[in-house]
Amino acid sequence: MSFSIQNALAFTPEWWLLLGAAVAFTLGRVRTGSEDQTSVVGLIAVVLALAGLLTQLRSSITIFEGAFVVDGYTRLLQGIVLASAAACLLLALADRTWTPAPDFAGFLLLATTAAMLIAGAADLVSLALGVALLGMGLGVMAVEARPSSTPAAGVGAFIASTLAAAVIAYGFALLYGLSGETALAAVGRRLGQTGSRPALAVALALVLAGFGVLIGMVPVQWGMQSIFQRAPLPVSAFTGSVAVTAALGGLMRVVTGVAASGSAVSLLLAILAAATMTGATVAALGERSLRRLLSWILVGQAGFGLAALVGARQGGVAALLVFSASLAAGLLAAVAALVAYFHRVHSDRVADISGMASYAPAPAAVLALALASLSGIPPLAGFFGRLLVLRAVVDAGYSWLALIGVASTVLAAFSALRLVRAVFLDPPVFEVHPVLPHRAQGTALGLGTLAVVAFGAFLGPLLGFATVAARAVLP
Amino acid sequence: MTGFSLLMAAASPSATSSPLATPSASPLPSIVPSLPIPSGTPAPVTLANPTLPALLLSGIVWIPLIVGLVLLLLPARSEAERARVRIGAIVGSGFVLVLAVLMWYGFADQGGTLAYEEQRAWLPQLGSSYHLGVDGVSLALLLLTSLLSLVAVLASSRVRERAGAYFALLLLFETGLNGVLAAVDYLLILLFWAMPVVAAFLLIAGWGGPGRSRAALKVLAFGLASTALLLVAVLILAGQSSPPTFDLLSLHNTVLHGPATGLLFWLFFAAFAILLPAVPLHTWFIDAVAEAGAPVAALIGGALPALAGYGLYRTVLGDFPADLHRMRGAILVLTLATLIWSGLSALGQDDLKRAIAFLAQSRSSLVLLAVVSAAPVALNGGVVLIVASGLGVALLLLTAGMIQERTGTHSVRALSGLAARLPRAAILYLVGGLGLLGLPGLAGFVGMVLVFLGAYPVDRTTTTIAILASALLSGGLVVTSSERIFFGPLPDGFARLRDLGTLELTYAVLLVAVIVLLGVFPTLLANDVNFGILSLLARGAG
Repeated sequence: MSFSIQNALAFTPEWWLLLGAAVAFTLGRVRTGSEDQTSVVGLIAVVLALAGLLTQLRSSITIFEGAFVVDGYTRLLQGIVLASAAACLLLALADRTWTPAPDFAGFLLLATTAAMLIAGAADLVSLALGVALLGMGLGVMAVEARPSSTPAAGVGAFIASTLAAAVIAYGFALLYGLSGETALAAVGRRLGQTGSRPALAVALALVLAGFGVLIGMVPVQWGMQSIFQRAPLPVSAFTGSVAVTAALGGLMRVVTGVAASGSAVSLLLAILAAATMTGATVAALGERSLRRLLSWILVGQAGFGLAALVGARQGGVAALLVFSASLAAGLLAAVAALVAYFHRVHSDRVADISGMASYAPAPAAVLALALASLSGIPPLAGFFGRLLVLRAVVDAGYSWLALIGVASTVLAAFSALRLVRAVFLDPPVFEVHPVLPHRAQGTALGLGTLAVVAFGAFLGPLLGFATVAARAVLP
Repeated sequence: MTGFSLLMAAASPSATSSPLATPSASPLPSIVPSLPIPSGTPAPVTLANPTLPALLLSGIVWIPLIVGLVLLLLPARSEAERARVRIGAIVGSGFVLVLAVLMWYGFADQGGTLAYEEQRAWLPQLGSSYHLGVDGVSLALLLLTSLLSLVAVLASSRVRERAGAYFALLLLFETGLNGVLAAVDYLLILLFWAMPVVAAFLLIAGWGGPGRSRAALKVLAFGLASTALLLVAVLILAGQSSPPTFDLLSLHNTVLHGPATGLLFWLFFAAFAILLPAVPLHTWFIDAVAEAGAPVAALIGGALPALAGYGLYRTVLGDFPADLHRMRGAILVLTLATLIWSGLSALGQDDLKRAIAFLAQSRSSLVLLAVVSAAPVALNGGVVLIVASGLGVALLLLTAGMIQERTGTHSVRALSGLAARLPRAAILYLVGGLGLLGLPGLAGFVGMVLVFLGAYPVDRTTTTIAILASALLSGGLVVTSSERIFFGPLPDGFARLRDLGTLELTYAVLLVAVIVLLGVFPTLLANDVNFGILSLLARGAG
């Protein structure tokens, strides 16, 4: 096994994250009350990692004999992961309803490193390793996120994420047993020669179930919901953006590598996608808790993410990348708005956001934009993500799934705009004095708005990059 | 030859036969080769008129939105602050109208090509670009939407609650309308299509009448359904093209095969039929017009059917002429059903705004008659009819709003003898109503006559029934409602009513002036529209 300087440099972003984590852990231990400072250290590390990533956009190398592949696909996924992680740290600074544990930023950076590794993993072992690390990072972040969350919530999240990693590992073990290979491409080649067997179906079902827990797929969406319902908002935002992006990206590697041409896998993915997008949208209609509503919205997005995998085509890969970016933009903007809202109103009831615009106009506007984007209303970010996925689904020959996608988008848009109406036009439930957003809140709100509104303007270069990245995965 | 005489000459028997029904007898072969027909290849950024800047069309589309965003940020608590917001909206919307008129002035003799074309790379991987341009048809409708938007802003002087948000939404509505008409790329059209829907939903929900919640949700449901149908159709259509493209001009040249064309035709048709609105997809429209404040109702009643009409022309007629011809029977049945249902419903209404909404629906259905005939003269008439209906319906709805504001009721039975106290309102109502009916000298007349002359040779029976039913039912409504509202004894409660003020007269007279102007000088629009339609038909036939 060779490991050159060039290979080490390819991990520059990860090195920055690890260095940041080390500094954040140390700072958290030696200075009490330094939570904000550790978040700032984390933010600096993520920005440096992002800068390191930008210097290596054109490189394409294989590391550890194929365990990791650093290509356009990896870099774009990592870019989304890092930008989302930076936003989550900003949200941790903005969230005044919660004091993070001293080592929160350190674990966030470790979990981000795991997500980065998943993005580049091209081998069963490295992918399982990345997923296990991510699961542990998420679990610890949720467990430590007291006092606003209950310990049970953290334990629930911990169990969900580690269970997911374990189930995926079982699936991978079966795949290894069936093929005798660990490199994804080699596994796919070998399985293609041997044909399908019940054991292969079990292996793929386990892999799908494990990743399903991480992305919030119906019927295993409970792990995601548990985090959204009880963990602090920045942790939820991290799970919904960084972890979901990495998990969808990893699943795409598995689907394109192992089950590229399997029509049965595509059909299963299409059915799961349809169930997820429809079930979540319908469930969101009658939801009374804001946090659970946000989790259902995210689960609905997972349906679209799965739909992009159907058929394992280049168009789908490019669509998934753009969709992940649009999802992260919408979710982080929504969380930024809710962070500012919960700073003023300590109520989780959906009905209580009525008239929010009268006392918190900026968070209300950002919430409206974010909800509209997440439900796919043009011309916001989410519309473009959904459009590309639907186009890829039609190209893959699954028009029925595209129709279900359009129908669920209409339903989602309907319920989102009902909320927007309540926020802006209904009388307020509480008498709240207008408060200007805290500086970090203002920055998060501004960046969230920019990401959601200006997405279309930057879509050209992003889609161009995503198309090149898709060719790297499916030549 | 003047434009109108040119149209009348085209109305001769040989010219009125549908190019789809009998291609050999069509007048197009003799005219079309001399017209420069837009090709499917992307053109560079061009100037239709070298004296006008290339960003004119972008300005018409985006200025309202930008002004709206600025207004949203301005405080509007005191009367002075509200006045500032209102003036900002008037300036923004007025500027857009000036730009539209300038464009119309510089548009002469485009010969069916796209003018003021702007094309910039946007999403080359998808085959989508920022491509704007207008032909005669879209320019005529752009003038209508710009004028109606300004009138709606002018008529909103009494809005006190959340004035910034109100005017921002009105301007978002305008950006959506103008964007759909200016875009030459289906992806852009989709982006703009949802804007009026969202704006109308929020405007009705926030500033509507007692039944606003229900009406607003209906607008949202039907509007989103229309957007979804359009989205599905566009996805399928773009998927059929190779290389992939969303460009209207390129897709016009895409040869479609198999059962997909029939499906696409119905998807597009249904998306536009919802907005037109055709029976039985019209209930949202009636509720929306009835529950919205008068300025918003004028915009919904006058401009949204124009968007639907534009879609029918540009896509249904332009891209699917064969399917249109095949489905003629079904669409004619739908046309007659809409016409008669709306006409009878209008007569049976006590609510004045609902009656006017049914009247607007009745006039819109004649556009279907023009489209299905596919005859150049009828299609010319259809565009004039859309413009005339938009102006007339807006004038009627605004007048109804003025009456309701003074009397506190919109029940026709409760109103009587108002001409004695509100003579100006009575005149406006009659001009609006008669303009819609097609009184010679007013805009509606030109539209009606051209639709009749064009469609009659294609299908004599249906055209005769449609025109007669329209004249009788709509005429009946205008005459009986005018008689009830303005004549007869004046109840004591109405003895102190104040007639229209200067501002109300200003925007109402603006509408009246254009209705009369187009009635007396139809060539102001007709020449440009005619070239646009011949170009559309040539593409459809080709």
